[in-house]
Amino acid sequence: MSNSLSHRHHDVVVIGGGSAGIAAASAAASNGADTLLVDAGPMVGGELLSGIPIDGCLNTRGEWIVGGFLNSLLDDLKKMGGFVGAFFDWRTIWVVCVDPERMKLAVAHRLREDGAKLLLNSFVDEVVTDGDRVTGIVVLNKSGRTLITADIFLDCSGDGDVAAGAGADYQRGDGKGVFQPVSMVFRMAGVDTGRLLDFARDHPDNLALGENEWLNKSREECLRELIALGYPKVFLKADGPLMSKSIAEGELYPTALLAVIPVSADLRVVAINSTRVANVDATDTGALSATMPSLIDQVWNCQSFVQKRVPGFEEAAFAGIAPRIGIRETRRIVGEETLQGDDVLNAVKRDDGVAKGGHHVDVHGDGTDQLRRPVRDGGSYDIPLGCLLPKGIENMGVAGRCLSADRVAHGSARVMGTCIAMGQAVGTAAAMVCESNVPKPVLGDVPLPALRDRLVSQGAILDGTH
Amino acid sequence: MNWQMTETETDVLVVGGGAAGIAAATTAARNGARTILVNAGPILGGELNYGAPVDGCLTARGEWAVGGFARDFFAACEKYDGYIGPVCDYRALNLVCIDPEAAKLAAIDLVSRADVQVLMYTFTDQAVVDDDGRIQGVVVRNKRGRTFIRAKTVIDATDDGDIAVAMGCEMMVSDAANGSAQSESLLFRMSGVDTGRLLDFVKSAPENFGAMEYPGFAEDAAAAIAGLVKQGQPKVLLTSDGPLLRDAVADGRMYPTSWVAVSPTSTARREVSIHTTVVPDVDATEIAREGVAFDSLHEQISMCADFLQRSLPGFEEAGLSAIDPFVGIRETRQVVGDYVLTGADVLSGKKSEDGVAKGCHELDVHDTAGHRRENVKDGGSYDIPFGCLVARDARNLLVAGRSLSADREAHSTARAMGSCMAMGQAAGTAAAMLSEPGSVSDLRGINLAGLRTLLKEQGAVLDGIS
Ligand SMILES: Cc1cc2nc3c(=O)[nH]c(=O)nc-3n(C[C@H](O)[C@H](O)[C@H](O)COP(=O)(O)OP(=O)(O)OC[C@H]3O[C@@H](n4cnc5c(N)ncnc54)[C@H](O)[C@@H]3O)c2cc1C
Ligand SMILES: Cc1cc2nc3c(=O)[nH]c(=O)nc-3n(C[C@H](O)[C@H](O)[C@H](O)COP(=O)(O)OP(=O)(O)OC[C@H]3O[C@@H](n4cnc5c(N)ncnc54)[C@H](O)[C@@H]3O)c2cc1C
Repeated sequence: MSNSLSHRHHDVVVIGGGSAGIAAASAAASNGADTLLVDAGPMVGGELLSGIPIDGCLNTRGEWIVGGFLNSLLDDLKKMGGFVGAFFDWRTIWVVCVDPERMKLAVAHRLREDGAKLLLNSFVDEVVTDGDRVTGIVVLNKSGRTLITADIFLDCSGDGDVAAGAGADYQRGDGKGVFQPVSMVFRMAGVDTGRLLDFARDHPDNLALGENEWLNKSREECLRELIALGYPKVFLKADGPLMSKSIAEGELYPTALLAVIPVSADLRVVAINSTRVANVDATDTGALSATMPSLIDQVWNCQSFVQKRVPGFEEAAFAGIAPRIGIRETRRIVGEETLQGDDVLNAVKRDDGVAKGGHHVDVHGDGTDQLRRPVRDGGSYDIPLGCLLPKGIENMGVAGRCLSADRVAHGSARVMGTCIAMGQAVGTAAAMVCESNVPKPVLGDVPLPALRDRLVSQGAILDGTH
Repeated sequence: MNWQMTETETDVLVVGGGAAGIAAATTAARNGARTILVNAGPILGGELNYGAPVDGCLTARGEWAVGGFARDFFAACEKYDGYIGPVCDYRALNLVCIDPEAAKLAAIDLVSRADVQVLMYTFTDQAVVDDDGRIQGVVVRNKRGRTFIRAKTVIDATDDGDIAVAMGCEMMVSDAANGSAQSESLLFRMSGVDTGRLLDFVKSAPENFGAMEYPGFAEDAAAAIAGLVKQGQPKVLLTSDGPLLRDAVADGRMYPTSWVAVSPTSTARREVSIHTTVVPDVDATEIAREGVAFDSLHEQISMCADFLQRSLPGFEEAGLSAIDPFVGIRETRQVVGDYVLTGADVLSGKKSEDGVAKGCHELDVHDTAGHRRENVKDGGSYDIPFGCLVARDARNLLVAGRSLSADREAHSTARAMGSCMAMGQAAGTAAAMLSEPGSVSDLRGINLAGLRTLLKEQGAVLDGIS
């Protein structure tokens, strides 16, 4: 908090170190750009550190639709013993389950290997513009204020703070004050997977199963497959007898789901995604902070509930909450193009795609409400570069949760596998436009065929899948 | 982004949500003051959440030196199944072991139940001071924009005295960071530890473990080891005086370090925290205040966990269970208060009529002369006078926690988290007194006897112990 303003310059500055931002920073740095990654928090990895699985890495058919940075990260994680597995949930999606603690090490390692610089605990305060360009951002941290100038800025802040600060248009939630809920993911250790799966087998009416028509399998078949997998990955649904009774009797808060996710290689630690407070504008910090007491009450309520009611959890102990409140939806920046819900649902392919998504449209509501619609034929859709270019700002890209999409498309593209793919795309594009050394590079000027070639040569998956 | 400056008004503003800040805010609110707590990070509790045992709660003689808020905090940890309680290290200290995951819930629970208005994810920007040297309030910045929080009294519970610095108060900056003491604290947790096997090993190879510096614990070193074993807790200090650690460092299985401290964090998860120091392999000037060290320390964590698993009996089945954000190199920046607590005060166990909190942790300084540790006289306590919490250059700014007014030696003991909570309670109570209608508006005018009485009524320990 000193009054002086220090200054630093980089080719590329990435704001936000979640799944999109780390991919963008690594891609930009490994492609030769001097790259700085700025995050307001004390760690990098965003929701990758919360215990939820990485969705959107494979389509429902089981084809990988994300590669490149994701592969490097998962390879690092495997070496550290933190890769739990990629498998079908016999509901509708493939999930990649990871150990969030080892993920902290893997993310730090990856960024370091790829040469991205880090600036943590630093909040983007101001955005300096000149016409259609962003010339700098001012970050606030314990050293005071720093003006950071760069050729290209990549907004991976989840909330699109920098694009919005530069004057980009955006949409928020449903536009009428409805936002997907915020949640606090938590973990339980000492779970008996065998008992949990026996319970699932004996009481399948509590599980979400076979929700995708393309599967063409009965609930019974799906259940058999799920049990055969042997992972504590069960999705308890609110309208099953166990949860609906507890919710009705007030033993459990109203929620749509209680997803149990394996997060350790020995399958004895699980994350639970269930708590929720809906319709909070998470960019209203006071309102977001005020959800914390309800969220922790729900966490404790839920852990007591599973201990008491869900076989396999009798001996399990509470093992901690995610590093921060999970946010599903705030701003969607208006880009050169907007990803459409129909294109997502119809698995539309494009010649100018730079990333792929395949997650079902997944829009959580208040209490027990949730909209889930699969992508056609278990396939994937393409995200064109235009969805990552905020309209009217020539040297900025966006990736991750704040991409340009309508609300339905956003319900699919917001997952972490897709965020990683988008991040790699904008990071690579940023490095490419900096390579030419032209003054004032324009991100949208990147030659698309060359970008796609570069992405593919670096492991990204852009074609050849459903 | 929302650029306009909003304004809000309160009786007490607490900046920083660590041990001192949560105590100060909860206490101020409980005593009737309208209270706002601002914290930069996504969670409350600061280093209470990192798995280190809470020092400074009981004297070496075993008497409680803190009460009130600290005891409420421990009760809240117990409510969330996370209280192990007082443990003796049979070396120099009694400490209180808690589950840091429960501590996160406990901190939110206490603060929110006291009706403190919390702003997380919020950075401080400027202090507003009038011509009289009164602080009018603080300008904070978060996603909502900029807010001027006007307050009658401000409590600086930031770890570095950020508000005092912003006001231009005189600070004492120790040169520790320029000396040889550039070691970084490494803290992580491992679960699945077999305490029985660990303690059997302690019994059979005691030369590897630190014991017996404070003579009150046992007759001799052998008796201290016996006590440690009998206590039945995984609370041991592996030192490089013994062959196990020394040889591992010598042959490169461990990075150079002189000790590895093991402390229990959860009985249910059979989890311990591991605390060591390490000299980072990056240029110290690079490790700016922003926490850049994160990416360079992950290898050491893996190395230390591997070493323990392979070499320390009881850890064969244990695995890495949690990694917390790095604290960075700790700058020691102290506010100059009306009174500066000295090393001599501490070591002589000095009592004071102005005492508003007590400290009892050992003196523990690293400097160019080496590492010095010494117990408070007779294993007792010393008093922290009110003047240590009053910034000399301001009328209505209190400091609590790590930035209290103390010389380097005194600081090394008074910074213990137990003492931080006690100081927080004292500061919060004083601030609440100032906000009563008709009260004096300068901290110097406060009725100290009244403050002490109120603190004691609310459980604080100020007299009656060694
Ligand atoms: C409860 C929950 C469950 C979910 N379940 C799944 C799931 O199972 N699988 C899945 O794949 N996805 C899931 N999602 C969605 C997914 O986690 C997010 O959409 C995704 O992580 C968004 O990634 P991101 O990189 O865009 O943003 P984030 O991960 O949110 O990262 C943004 C980063 O930017 C930083 N930042 C923000 N503003 C600023 C600023 N002004 N200055 C500096 N830094 C800033 C933040 O500190 C943060 O680190 C879930 C989401 C939630 C909330
Ligand atoms: C090497 C080492 C080891 C230690 N080990 C132990 C131990 O084993 N046991 C023990 O009891 N103590 C230990 N301590 C001491 C102890 O950890 C700290 O001194 C103590 O936690 C400080 O508490 P605090 O409340 O002052 O600050 P913290 O716990 O550091 O909390 C400060 C809070 O304020 C927030 N904040 C900071 N600046 C701002 C700002 N400008 N605006 C908004 N928010 C801000 C931070 O985000 C954080 O949440 C150790 C210290 C050192 C140096």
